[in-house]
Amino acid sequence: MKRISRSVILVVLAWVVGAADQLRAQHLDMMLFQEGGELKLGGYEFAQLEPVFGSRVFRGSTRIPPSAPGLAWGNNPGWSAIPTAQLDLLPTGAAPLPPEASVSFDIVPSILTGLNLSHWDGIGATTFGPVPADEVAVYGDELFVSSVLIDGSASAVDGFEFATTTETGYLHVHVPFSIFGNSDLQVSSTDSPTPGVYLLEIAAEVEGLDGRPSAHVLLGVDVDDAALEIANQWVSTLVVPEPSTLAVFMVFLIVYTTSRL
Amino acid sequence: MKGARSNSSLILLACLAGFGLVEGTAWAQHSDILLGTRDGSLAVVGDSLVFPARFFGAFTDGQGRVNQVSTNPGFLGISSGELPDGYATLPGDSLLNFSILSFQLDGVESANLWHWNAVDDGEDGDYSNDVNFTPVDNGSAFWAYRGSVFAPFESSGFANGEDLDVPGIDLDVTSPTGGLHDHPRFGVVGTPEMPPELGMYLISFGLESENLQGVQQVYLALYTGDVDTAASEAAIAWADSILSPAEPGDSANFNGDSFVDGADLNVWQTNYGGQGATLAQGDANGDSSVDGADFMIWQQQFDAAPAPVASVPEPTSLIVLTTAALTLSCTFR
Repeated sequence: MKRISRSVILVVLAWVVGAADQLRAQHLDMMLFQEGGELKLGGYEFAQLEPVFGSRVFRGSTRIPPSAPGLAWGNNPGWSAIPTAQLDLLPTGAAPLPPEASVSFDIVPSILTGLNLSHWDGIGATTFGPVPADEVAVYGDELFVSSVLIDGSASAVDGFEFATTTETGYLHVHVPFSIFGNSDLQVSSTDSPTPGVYLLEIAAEVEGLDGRPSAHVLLGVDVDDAALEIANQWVSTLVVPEPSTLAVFMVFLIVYTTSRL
Repeated sequence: MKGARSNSSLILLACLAGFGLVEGTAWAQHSDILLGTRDGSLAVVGDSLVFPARFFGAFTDGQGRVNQVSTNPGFLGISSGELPDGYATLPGDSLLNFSILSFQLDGVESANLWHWNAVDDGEDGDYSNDVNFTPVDNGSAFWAYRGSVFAPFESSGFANGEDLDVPGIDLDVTSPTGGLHDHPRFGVVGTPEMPPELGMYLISFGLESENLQGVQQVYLALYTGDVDTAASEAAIAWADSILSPAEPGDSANFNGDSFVDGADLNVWQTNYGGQGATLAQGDANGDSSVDGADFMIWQQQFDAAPAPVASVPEPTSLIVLTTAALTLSCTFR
């Protein structure tokens, strides 16, 4: 009984550690790496200049240009990958991305809301739901490479190849986000996007690797950092850590309990 | 002199390692420009002012123009964690902006956009003797662009190789704690009939903060996807040697008259291209050749120090002199 209690405590502690790791994810780029030929997702913390493994929730702020009040735009979070020269920053068994591999994305309906674009007004209880007016999001733009329209429906949206890794597997790209207050994409419209936090889920693919891990991206429109942080915590607690993270804790748990026998 | 620069790099890396930042910083500086403050002025953290990045590729935009596009290098301010000795975080809630600056590489021409075709002229796999940037004059233009393409150029600037500074492109406002992470878009734009040339481009930015004094000059070395790694590395090393700030021991006071002025420039011009040269012949950085790097030092010291440069010995010189005097006096006793 005592052993079971200790195990339960350890599991809880493990979850707390995992959650804390995600909660500190404030200014992360989405970081890609591989493990046994499978694509993995983590974060790169620019405030600390270090990778954060296990992170799947990312956020960025937007601003509404005075000359174009019909939209809010931002360019965070970006995409990063550690080059071969920084291999020691990765955990044992992990490796940088393949060289000169194409990197692409798709927008998938959020596992939390079932929608490809969701909204919370940033006030009171955190309840992401459908966009309140006819807001749409655009990821990328024609001056960047290409773009996709995210209409708030329950449909997946095919993305595009937005980068190629270098010959050392390095990657660092910031694809612009835009949120329009109207589905006609009228930038001069006074229908600015409704203030709040917008949620979308982006699945990454890398040529030559299996798997398609997804990132949960929160975009703040005319809200303060506190609202983004609340949304970040809310999503983080609902998003199940990647199996590899769980596996590490389970191994730790087994080793610990075995050593006590 | 190369050795001196390597030593300063080692010292910086040692400082960074001491703070546990070396790995992350080394990685970040592959593309991002890490900013801080030093002595109350805006400063780049590190000992290089040249930042390379590769264009994604050529794309045709909605107006039919052909663009080479990049979102690197970005700009970074660390709001927490530690910086090397002497550096501090950026002030909070402060607007940063940058200008595109015209600059010289050879002491003859000034231009705000330079290009090298990155061709191995000797076909020997060694690009170090082939690097040759010239001002762009084919109608292509570099653009720096912050904002959404859907919002018509909220803040942007264009440079087409002229001797012209392009002022005032807003970058971003730092967070309340001085954090910054922003990636404007950069590109070189041409027409379908005259697309941007392949190769490497050199551009200079003058960075300013509304709450700090001074302008911090940095250089972007942007290259198209077809450029060989060896070519880009050769060009970056060349640009780094030419454009990095003067070392403490560098001096452009060639004629020894206590001033860095036009007379020293004449000395440099007279001996330009010379090898086995001395300080008196225009070798400002002690590498025995009279070249563009010496001119850049002259330019920096001419701009920064019109006052006499040798009237007041530096503290370290005073210490050496005092030590020597004490030693001599002891010896003679």
